Parts: sequence; C-alpha cells; structure tokens
Amino acid sequence: MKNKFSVLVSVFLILSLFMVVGVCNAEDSSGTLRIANPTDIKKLDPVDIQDATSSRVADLVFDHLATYDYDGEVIPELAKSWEFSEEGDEITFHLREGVKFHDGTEFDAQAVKFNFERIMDPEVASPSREKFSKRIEEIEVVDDYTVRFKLTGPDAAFIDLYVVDNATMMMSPASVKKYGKDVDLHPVGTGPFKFEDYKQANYVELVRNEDYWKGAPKLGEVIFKPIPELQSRIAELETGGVDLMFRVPPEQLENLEKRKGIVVQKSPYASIRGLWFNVEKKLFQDKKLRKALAYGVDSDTINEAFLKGVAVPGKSVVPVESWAYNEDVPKYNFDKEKAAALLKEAGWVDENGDGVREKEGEKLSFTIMSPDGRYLRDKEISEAVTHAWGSLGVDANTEVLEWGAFIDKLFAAKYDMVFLGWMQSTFEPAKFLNPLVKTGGRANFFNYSNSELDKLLEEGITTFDEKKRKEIYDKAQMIFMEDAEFISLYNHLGIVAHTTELKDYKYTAPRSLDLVDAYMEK
Amino acid sequence: MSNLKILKKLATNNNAIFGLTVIFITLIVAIFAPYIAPHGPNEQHLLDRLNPPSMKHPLGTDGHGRDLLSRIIFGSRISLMIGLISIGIGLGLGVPLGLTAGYFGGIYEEIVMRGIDILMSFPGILLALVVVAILGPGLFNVMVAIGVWSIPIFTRMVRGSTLSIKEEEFIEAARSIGLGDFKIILKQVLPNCLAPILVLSSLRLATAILSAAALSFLGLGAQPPTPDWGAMLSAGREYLRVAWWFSTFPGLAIMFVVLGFNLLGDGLRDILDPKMRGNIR
Amino acid sequence: MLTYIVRRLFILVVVVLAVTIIAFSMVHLIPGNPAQIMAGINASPEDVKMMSKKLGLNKPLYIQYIDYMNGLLHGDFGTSIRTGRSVAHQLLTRYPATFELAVVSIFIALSVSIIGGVTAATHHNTFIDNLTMLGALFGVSMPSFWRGLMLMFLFSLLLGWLPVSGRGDPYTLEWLRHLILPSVALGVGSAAYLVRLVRSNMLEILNEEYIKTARSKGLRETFVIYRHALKNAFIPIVTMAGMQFGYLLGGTVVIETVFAWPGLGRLMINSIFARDFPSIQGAVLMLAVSFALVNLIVDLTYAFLDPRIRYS
Repeated sequence: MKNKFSVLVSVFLILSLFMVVGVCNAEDSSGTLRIANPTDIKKLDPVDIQDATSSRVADLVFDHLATYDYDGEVIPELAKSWEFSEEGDEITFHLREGVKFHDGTEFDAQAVKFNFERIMDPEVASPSREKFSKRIEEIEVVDDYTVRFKLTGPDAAFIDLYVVDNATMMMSPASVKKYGKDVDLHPVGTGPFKFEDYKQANYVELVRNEDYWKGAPKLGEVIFKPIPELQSRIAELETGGVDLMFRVPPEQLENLEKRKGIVVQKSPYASIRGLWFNVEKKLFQDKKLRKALAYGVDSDTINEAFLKGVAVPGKSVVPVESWAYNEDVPKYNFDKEKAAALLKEAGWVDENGDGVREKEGEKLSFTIMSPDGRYLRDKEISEAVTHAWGSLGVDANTEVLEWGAFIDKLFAAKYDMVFLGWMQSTFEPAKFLNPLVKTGGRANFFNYSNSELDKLLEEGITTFDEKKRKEIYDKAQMIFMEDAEFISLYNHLGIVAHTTELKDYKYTAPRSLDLVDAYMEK
Repeated sequence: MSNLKILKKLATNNNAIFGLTVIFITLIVAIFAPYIAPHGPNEQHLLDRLNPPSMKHPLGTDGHGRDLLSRIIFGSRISLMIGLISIGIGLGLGVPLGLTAGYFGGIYEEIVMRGIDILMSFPGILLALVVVAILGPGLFNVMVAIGVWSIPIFTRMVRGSTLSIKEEEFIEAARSIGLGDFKIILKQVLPNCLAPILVLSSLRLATAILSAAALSFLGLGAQPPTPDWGAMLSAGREYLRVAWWFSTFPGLAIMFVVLGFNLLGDGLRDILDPKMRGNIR
Repeated sequence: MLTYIVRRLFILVVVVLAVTIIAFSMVHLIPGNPAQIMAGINASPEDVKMMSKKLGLNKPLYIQYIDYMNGLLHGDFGTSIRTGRSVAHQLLTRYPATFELAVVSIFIALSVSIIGGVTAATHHNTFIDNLTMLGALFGVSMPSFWRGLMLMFLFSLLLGWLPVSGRGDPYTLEWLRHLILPSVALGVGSAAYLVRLVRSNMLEILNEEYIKTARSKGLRETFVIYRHALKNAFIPIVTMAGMQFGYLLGGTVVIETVFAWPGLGRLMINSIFARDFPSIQGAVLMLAVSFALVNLIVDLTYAFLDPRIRYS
C-alpha cells in the first residue's frame, strides 16, 4: 500500500514537474505576434530603406546609437552618452560595451565608423549619401568604445537628423563582408529580434534574440504579413488572422474602438499634409491670389468629413503638437467673402459671365496634382478643394497620378499645385523647414525662396540654446505662413489597432514598435 | 439578306429585343441625364458623405456626399462613350488591316498577322495598362488603350472573312471589268464582311466597358470628378464594410449595360451568322 | 505532325523574341524613373544619379536591351530594381501561385459549364434551360473584380466563413480556404463563356442519328448523354477551355489585386508602378511563353482527339 502510494506520489510529482516545465516553456516563448502591413518589405539594408514597412522590420533587427523615448526625446541606445565640442562641430560618442551582433561579432567603434562611412560610399549609392556627406567630414576611432565625428559645421539637430535615421542603424560589418550585395536579405544587427525567414509577398519572420543587451524580449516570434487591401487588413484583425495593424482609417475607427477584443491606441504624429503652390508658375507668384485660395479652403469641414478622429486640422508648416509650433502664425480660416474680395483685388473678375474669373483675357485655371492614396484621403480632399474653389469662380481640376508618375512630375516641377505630405519621426522643426522651404532644400519642389527665412533657418541649426531656437523657429513660421505658399490641411495621428491578447505594448509615433516587453496572452 | 428581312428577324429574336431595349433605355438615360437626375452629379455635401439609401438619395451618397443615383445616371454617358470610341478605334485600325491582309496576301499578310500574333500574346489588360501608363491616366487615353487592345481581334476576323470572300465569283467578275483593288475591297469585300463585324462590335463593346472599369479599378482610369462607373466602383471598395451601396450600384449599372450589348450581339449572331461560335472575348 | 510541331515552336520563339523587344521599349516609354522611385522624395538629384548608375540605367537603351538578352541566353533574367533580388527567383515563387489559381479556376469553370450546359441542353427550352442561359449571360456581363468584391463582402466580411485575402501557407488547408474565393470569382466568368458552348454543341449532337439509335436500344439516358454525346462534344470544349486557360493565366491581374494573391499578375502591377523593368520583362515573357505553349497544346490535343484533322 505504502509502495503504491509512493509510486502515485512520484508519478504526480513527475507529472507536475512536466507541467511546470510546460508552463515555463509557454511563458518562455510568449507567443507569436502577427502584424499586418499594407505593403511588402522592399529592402532591409538600412542605407536603402525608404518605406515604412521595411523600416518597421529593420527597427526590430537593428539598434541605433541613440533613439527616441515614447515622447520623442532623444535617449541613448548603443551609445551610452555623447558630448559636443565647444564650437558644436565635433561630437564624441561613448559606446556601450559588451554588445554583440546576432552573428556573434562585437559591436565597437570600428563598427560605427564602418556603418557611417558605408552610407557615404559612392559605390553603395545610398539615397541618403549626399545628406550625410554634406554634414560629416571625418569619423575617428578614439579607442574601442569611443568614436568622434567631425562635422562640416555646428549642428544642434545632429542626433535627431543623422543619428536616429533609418540609414544609421548599426549592422554587423562582418555580415556586409560575408553577404556582399545580398546583405539586404541577411540583416544582422544588435536588436531584440533576429531575422529568420522571408517569403516574398507572403511574410517576414523574426525570432527572439536571446542575448539582447537589454534582456531577451518576451515574444518568441514576430511575423509581418503584407496585406494590400485595407478591408482585408481590418477583417484579418477582427477574425484573429493578425494581431496588430497600423493606420486605421477614419470610417472604421468607431467600429474598431467599440469592438470587443480590440484595442485602439492613438498618438500625435509628426506629419504635415497640405497643398503647395509651384511658385515657378507665373500665376502663383501673386501672393494675393495664394491668400485668396487659402481662405477658400474649409479645412475644418474637410477634417470633420474625411478624417474624423484620425487627424487634427493643420495650422503651420510645423505640426501643431510640436514644441516649436507657433500659435500666432497667420491662419487662413475659411471665409468665402474674404476669398472673393481678395480675388477681385488681385484683378480676377468674371467678365464674360461663364462662371470663371479672368484677368487680362486669361482664365483663372489650374490643376492640383495629387498622389493616389499615398497620404490619407489625398485625392478625395484634392477633389473637395477643387470643388469648393469652383464656387468661387476658379476653374480648378484634380489630376490623380500613381506615385511613379507623380514624383516624376514633382521633381521636374511640371505641376501647378501639389498635394504633398511630409512625415518625420519627431517634431524637430529643422526636419520640416530645412528640406521643404529653404532655398534649394532637397524637398523644396516648389521653387520657393525667401532669403530672410533662409537666414533664420541657418541660425536655427547652429543655435544650441533651446529657448533661442524656439524664438527663431517661431519667427520662421510667421514669415513662411504669411507668404501663403502652403495651405495646411491636417496633421494626422498615428493609430494602431490590436487584439487584447497583445499585452504590455505601448504605441507612440516616435516609438512605434517597441516589443521588448510585449507578449501574447493566450 | 435584305435589310428589311434582317429587321423582321430582329423583331422576333428575344435576345436582340431585350438587348436593344436595354441599350435604348441607357441611351435615353444618357441623353436626358440632366432632366432625370435628382441632383447634380458633382454637387458635393461633405458632411452628408456615405449616407445610406433614403428618400432623398435613393441609392445613397458617395465619399463626397454626392448623390449616387445622379452620378450613375450621368455615368451612362461616359460608359457609352468609352464603348463607342474605343471600338471605333479598334474598328478604324483593325478592319482595314484585316481587309488588306486578307486581300493582298503574301509577305504583307505575313507581317501584319505576325504583328497581330505578337499583340495577342500580351495579356490583354496588361497591354492596356502599359498604354495608359505611357499616355497618362484620363478618359481619352483609356479609350485609346482599349481601342489598341481590340485591334487584333477585328483584324483576325475580317481577314478570315476576306479570305473566303476573295474566292467568290463576283470578285473575279469585278476584276474582269477592270475595277481597282481598293475599289473591290471597298465595294465588294467590305459589305460582305459587315455582318460579322456588326456582331463582333456589339460583343466587343461589352468587353470594352468591362475593361475600362478594370483599368479604373487598377488606378489608371478617368480623372475626378468624372462620374465614371468603374472609378466609382473602385472608390467604393475602400468603404465596402461601411457603405456597401457605394460599390454595389455602379457595379450593377455596368452589368446592365454590358448585358445589353452582349444580348444584342448574341441576337445579331443568331440572325446574321449562325455559324459563328462563341470563341470571342 | 512532327514538322508541324517544329514549325510551331519556331514561330513561338520568334513571337516571344518580338514580345521581349516590344515589352522592353514600351515599359521604357512610361514616364518615371525607377531610381527616383527607389530613392524616394528624400533623396537629392545627385543621389538619384548615383542610384541610376548602380542600377545600370545610365547606359543607352539598346545596350541595356542587348545586356538583357545576353543575360537571358545564359538563363539570367536580371535583377529586380524594386527588390534587388533575382528576377528568376521572383518568377519561380510567383508563377506557381498564378498557375494554381488558373488551374483551379478552369476546373471550376469546366465542371460548372459541363453540368450546366448538359442540363440546359437536355431540358431544351424549359425553365431550367432559360435560367442557365440567363445565369451565363449575367456571368459574362459582370466585371470580374466586382464579382470578387461582392463574394468577399458576402463570404468574408459578412459571414466570416472564408479568409479575406492572401494565399496562406502553400498546400495546407489554410491555402485551400484562401483559394476558394479568387478561383470562384475567376472560374464563374469562364464558366459563363463555356456553358453556352457546351449547350449548343450538346443540342446539335443530341439530334444526331446515332444518339437516337443508342436511345432506341434502351440504354440509360445518363449513359447516352455522358458517354456518347458528351464525348463527341468534347473537342470544341477542349479548345475553348484551353483558350480560357491562357486567358486566365494573364487575366488574374485584377483578381490577384482584389484578393492580394501573390502571383505573377500582382508582381507585374507592382513592377509597372515601380518601373521595375527587368521584373516586368520577365513576367511578360513568362506569360507570353505559357500562353503560346497552352495554345500549342490545345491545337495538338485537338488533332489527337479528332483524327480527321491532319497538320501538314
């Protein structure tokens, strides 16, 4: 009897041991997270990354020297700390020690030098090459864990603009040598997840990096699925085919928020969307006309109708949530009478009664060029704006182009007006003003030029005092918005929806996919 | 067959009657669109967007708060125009090529027909897609693209008919009285090809409307605010879950008109050329 | 027969060669620069030039074509501009997806059309006949992508029975579930074309003497219909089905877009939008070759099935 009992006890003990092990295992590999993306990845080589999907995947595989916290403040990552020289044109990074790439090689100062120099290598032909070459003069390895950058001039936004960039994710130099030009399908970084498998147009699979320097993440696997149709992404989320999706459209927001088992998270996003005048066109060199048209756009109604809950009306060239946003910028609140009066003042009158205004025999007629769904509701809003202008006696048309044809015309400045958005990971104003509106800025497709503004923007980048910088950018926005070169339409919010099974995942736009603590509850 | 006889036969052919009725209705709607439509096709009411069918908007509203019924009514004009013009292009280029290739034969025929083979070995929609991509989006370019796509099928068919007509005695007779080649083609060969051309045109018209819708769906169609059915259907796809009417009704409209031309084509075939089989797409 | 096949193969090669030239020149006529699209709106003109050079787009067009053909002769389809991966590899992963979709669709089309067509023919001029023909007429008059959308709306969004899109893991149950809606959307269209053909052929044959003889011998009706009549109606059906299959291989473009099916059609659309020349050429080539091969096989089957036809 006693024997039997002890057998029973031992069986029970062994069984419970198995169960504990089993439970441990279950907790140990806290599930698979499946993420729906509208597109497939393009390239995973950081120097080539230009699209959101690739950037999201790469962000889990690689780390930067510095990164953003949830509020978009710069915090150290692979660099422990850094300091600027007195003149502000030299910056020294002190690196974290003992960090290893997924292939087992050491992360050190040589690796940093290698990665930055790779961006600037003409052979590599990175789309970011010129940006970096113009800013970085020399990179010097001081010792194994110290690296010094000599810049072409002082730059207060250097970390924001150059260090937390897609291109400067730290990849293993050994892997670049090993895989050569195939390295973009063999990304080896120091990040929380390792690249495992990729089937084109089907999925990307990442697995946990057990040796992650911040501690191994809880999730066992992360899978990215490309699902181009919006309806499908939502249906997949609702039916449990995926666990997380980005970019929820306004029409579905309410439904998803109400739905059981689904959580929606929102965050301000550093983005501006609006209409830009090509001032190379003679027509739009008249500031009065630009202002008249700006007053003719009812951006509040547009927001209410097309973007309810997913955007806020834009007011300036800097997002309204930015620390640099100036509340006092000239605003062009919808005012039909004022618009009509300004049009008349500018000499545009409908003399022959055909419903379209003329001046010196010429009709007030032009076209808005819009991408096809690149920005939330781009073509719909362009169509609404042209319709509204129509009632003011303006013969405006919309031309919707697919992206390839769109940017072809954009770069050649072969357009009258354009619906264009600009999006950044943080609210740093230099990321908006300098490329877009500075004379010769790399995204100044509008031929806009204002020497007073240029001077301020130079000053802004070389000023390290934050209060002074704010003043400078306040002034810059005043000047720019007074010029009415840009009709600001909206700043959209970052929105994700996920199942309630995904726990401990916090979403903000600057830190959109931090999965170190997240896990799946099953 | 005399014209009168054809008309008599048409009047007793169910397919043809139904088809003609559908086309006639569409034509009436297209012509009198401004009087029939309850609202302007481009009248926007942004805050009334995506409203379900109601007394005011029998088919609901679209993404800009426009009355869907009115847009569908005006869209009939666009649809008919796409069909007619693109088939016009296909006919205008395809028929002469087929006539001359069949009539003259030799190297010329070989070159033309191999060219047609090549054109046909492109997947159809793709050819149209590339043509529109080259020319840029817009209604006219869509019609050109679909016209180009229709050329081979007309050429092939007309060449086939020409080959058999060429052997007929009356051609020989025409030659013997000294008629020139082009006169013979125009006066003798072409009239005898008209029956199959008519049948094929009607069926191809249906296909053309469907293809234009497909191009719009792929993002290379008419520019806004054109009330093009394909573009409307495609715009509604994003709202399938919240506004089913937006995609459904334009789709039904397309089906209605296409059905009309298909029925007419079938009817004509029964009457004019019973031997012609359905291998036309 | 053999000389006929050789001759056909020779023509096939010529046509395919011409297709590559035309495809090559046409896609280069599309405005837009792939390097620009790759580099994005962030890149400076200088960077775009670098990128062009890296992609080999700065060479004259005819040199690019010669390079391309040279590679092709050595079995190298080139490298995709958009993804930087080998085009051959891309085609090999995408082709099966399109092929299986076309096969299942034609299977659906044939079964539906044979059952429908035979039933309609044996119930000539009855309600069933009219209903079938009406159904077929609606089938051909519907835009295929609209049919796809409506199926998706009904079975995936409203009822939640089937997955909305994608392909699933190939050759699992999930894959089969994903396959249903797109192949039905496609297959129904082809069935609508085929069903009329089956019906009219059956009608003709059912009036033939030997069928009447078979019936008078007291053979079971289904036996008469399916063994005797259908067998003889088969030749034109095979021809049409073959043509439909060729059409399906190229015609899946739109349906693949609706259902996010990772096949050749979607590859082609994405490549056109990205001006990814090598990928477009590769895909067009692949489709043109399969189209031509399908036609050849159809013609040969035709000859095989009908001994009266001799090729010389």
